[in-house]
Amino acid sequence: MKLITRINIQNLLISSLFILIAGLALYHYLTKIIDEEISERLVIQKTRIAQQIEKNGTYQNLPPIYEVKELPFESREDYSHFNDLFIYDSLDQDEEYFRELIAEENINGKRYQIIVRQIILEPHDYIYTIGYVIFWVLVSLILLIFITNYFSSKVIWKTFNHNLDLLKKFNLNHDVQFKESKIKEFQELNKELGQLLKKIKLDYLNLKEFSENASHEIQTPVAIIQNQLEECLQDQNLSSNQSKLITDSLKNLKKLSSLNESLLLLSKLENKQFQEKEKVNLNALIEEQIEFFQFLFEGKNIQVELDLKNCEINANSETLQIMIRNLFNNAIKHNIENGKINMELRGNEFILSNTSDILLEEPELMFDRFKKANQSSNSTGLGLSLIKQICDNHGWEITYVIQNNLHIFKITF
Amino acid sequence: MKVLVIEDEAALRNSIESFLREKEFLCEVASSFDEADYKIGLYPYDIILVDITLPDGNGLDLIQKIKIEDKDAGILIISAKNSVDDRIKGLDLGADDYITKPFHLSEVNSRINAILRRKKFEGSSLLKFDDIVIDLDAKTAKVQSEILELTKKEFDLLIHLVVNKERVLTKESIAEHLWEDQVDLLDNFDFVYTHIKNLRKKILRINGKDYLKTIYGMGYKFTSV
Repeated sequence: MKLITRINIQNLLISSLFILIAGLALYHYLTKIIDEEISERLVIQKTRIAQQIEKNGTYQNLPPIYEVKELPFESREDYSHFNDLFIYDSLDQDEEYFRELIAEENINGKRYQIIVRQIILEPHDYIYTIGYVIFWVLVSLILLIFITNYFSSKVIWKTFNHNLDLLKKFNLNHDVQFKESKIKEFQELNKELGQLLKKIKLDYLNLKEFSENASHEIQTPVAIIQNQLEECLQDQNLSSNQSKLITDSLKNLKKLSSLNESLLLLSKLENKQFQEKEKVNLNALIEEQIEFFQFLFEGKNIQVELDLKNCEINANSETLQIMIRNLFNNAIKHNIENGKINMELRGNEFILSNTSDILLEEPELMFDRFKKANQSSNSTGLGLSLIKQICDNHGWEITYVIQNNLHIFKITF
Repeated sequence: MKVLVIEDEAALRNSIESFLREKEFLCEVASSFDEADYKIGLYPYDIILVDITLPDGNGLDLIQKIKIEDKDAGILIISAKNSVDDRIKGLDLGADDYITKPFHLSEVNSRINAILRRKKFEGSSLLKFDDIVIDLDAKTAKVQSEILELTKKEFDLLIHLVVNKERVLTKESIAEHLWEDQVDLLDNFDFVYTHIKNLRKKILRINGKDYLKTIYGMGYKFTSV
C-alpha cells in the first residue's frame, strides 16, 4: 500500500467518524431548537386565539391549523399539553405529521378547548436530510483525496520515485546522483542514502582490493612451491617414492590454484563485473570451442551431434566463453566411454545433453558451490556454480534435468 | 642473452634466476621498482621479466619506462591470474607476452624463447637439437633432412621439448602448455601421453633414436641419446 493511500485512508476514517458525530450532534440540537421554536409558536398562537375570544366572544375554526370548541364549564385550572400525531390533510390528500397544543382555558366564564397545530418534520426526515448531506460530503472528500493523490504523486513523490528507480538500478560500477527534493524528509533520506552508498562502494572496493591482493598473495607462494617441487623433480637420485610424493603434491597444488581462480571469478561475477556486452555469434563460438575440445571428445570416443542454427545474442564474450568451456568440461568429465553429446541451438534456446552413469536425485542442487556428484573426484565443485552465475548475470534461465539417462542443460536467453 | 628478472618475492626470484642461468642466460635480478628502474637505465637487456605487483610501484609503469629506455627489449609480464585488466594494459603498453602465477619454469623458458625468436635475436629461425632441425618460419621440422609430418600440436610440443631439453617435464606442465589452462585436464593427462607417443614414433621411424625418456610417475624428459 502506498504511504499516501495509507495516510488518506486513515484521514478518511477519522473524518468520517467526526462527520458522523457532527451529524448526530446536528440532529440532536436541530430537533431540540426546532421543537422549542414550534412549541413557543403554538403557545403564542393559542394565546392569540384566546385573546380574540376574550375580546370578541367569537371564534373561528380552521382545521387542521386550529380548532376551538366550547366545553361545559368547569372551574378547573387552565391546562395544556403537546402531542405529535398524524392527521389526514384533505388539501394535501395525505397524512401529515403535526404537533398540536391542546389547551383548555376559562375565558369570560366559559370553558374552551383550543387546539393549535403546526406541520413538523418527522424524525426520519431529519435523519434522511442530514445523512444525505453527510453522504455527499464524504463522496466529495474521497474524490478530493483521489485527485490530491494523483497530483501529489505526480509532484511531491516524483523526485522520490525517480530516486527509488535509481536505487533499483544501483550497480557498484556506476555512481548514483539523487535528484534534490524540497521536502525535508526526502532531503534527509537522500543524504543518508548517499552516505550509505558511498560506504557500500568503499567496502566493495576494499573487499575487491582485498580479494585481488589475497589471490596475488596466494598465487605467489603457490608459484614458489610449484617451481621448487619441479626443481626437485630434476634430481636424478630421487627414489620412486619421493618422486611420487612430489608429483602428488604438484597435482594438489594445481587443484588449489584452480580453486582459487574459480572462487575469484565467482566473486567478480557476483560483483557484476564483466558488464561490457557485445553482439556474439553463439553458433560460431560453440563451433570454435568444439574444435578446441575435439581431442577430448575423441579421447573418450564421444560422439558429438550438432543442430546449431544461426544465433546472435547480446553477451559478455569473455564470460560466455568461460560458460561454454565449463559446460563442455562438465559434459566430458561426467560422460561415459563411447558416450554422446547432443547440442541444439535454435531461437533463444541452447540445449546440451550428454550421456552419463551418474545418478542424481535433484540435479539442480549441483549448481550450489562445492557440490560434487562424487566427493572424491578431481573437480573443484565450482564449474556449475560458475555456469549458473554467468547465466544469472546475463538474465538467462538455466535448467538441469535428467531424462532417460541423459543429463540435459537448457539455457533460455 | 641478457635477462632482467623483476620480482619482489625472493624465493620466486631465486628459482627463476637459477633456472635461467642453467639455460645459459646472463641473468640479473631486481627486487623492487627502484632497483629495476636503476638497472634498466644502466644496461640494455634482451628480455625483461616484470612482475606487475611490486611493493614500491606498479610494474606497468616500468613497462612504460622500458619502452622509452630500451625499446628493443622483449617484455614478459608476470601477473596474478585474476588481473585481466593488468594483462591487457601491459600488452597495450608494448609487452610481448604474459604469464600468470603459478607458472612452470619450462613455460617461462618457452615464452622467452618465443619472444626471442619473434625479435630474431638469435639471427636465425632455426632451432637445432642433435639430428633435429626445426624451421620456425616455415613451421617445419626435419630429422636428418627428412621432413617430419607433424600435427600443429605435435609441432608445438616438439618446440617445447627442444627448448626445455634435459629437463623433467610433468604431464601437467606439458598439458598446460598445449591447451592453456582453460581445459579441465585433471583427469585427462592421457592426451599428453598420446601426443608424446605419436611424436616419439614419428622420430623413431626416421633415425631410430628415442629422445623422449619416460620418467615413470613423473613425466617426460627430452634428452640426446
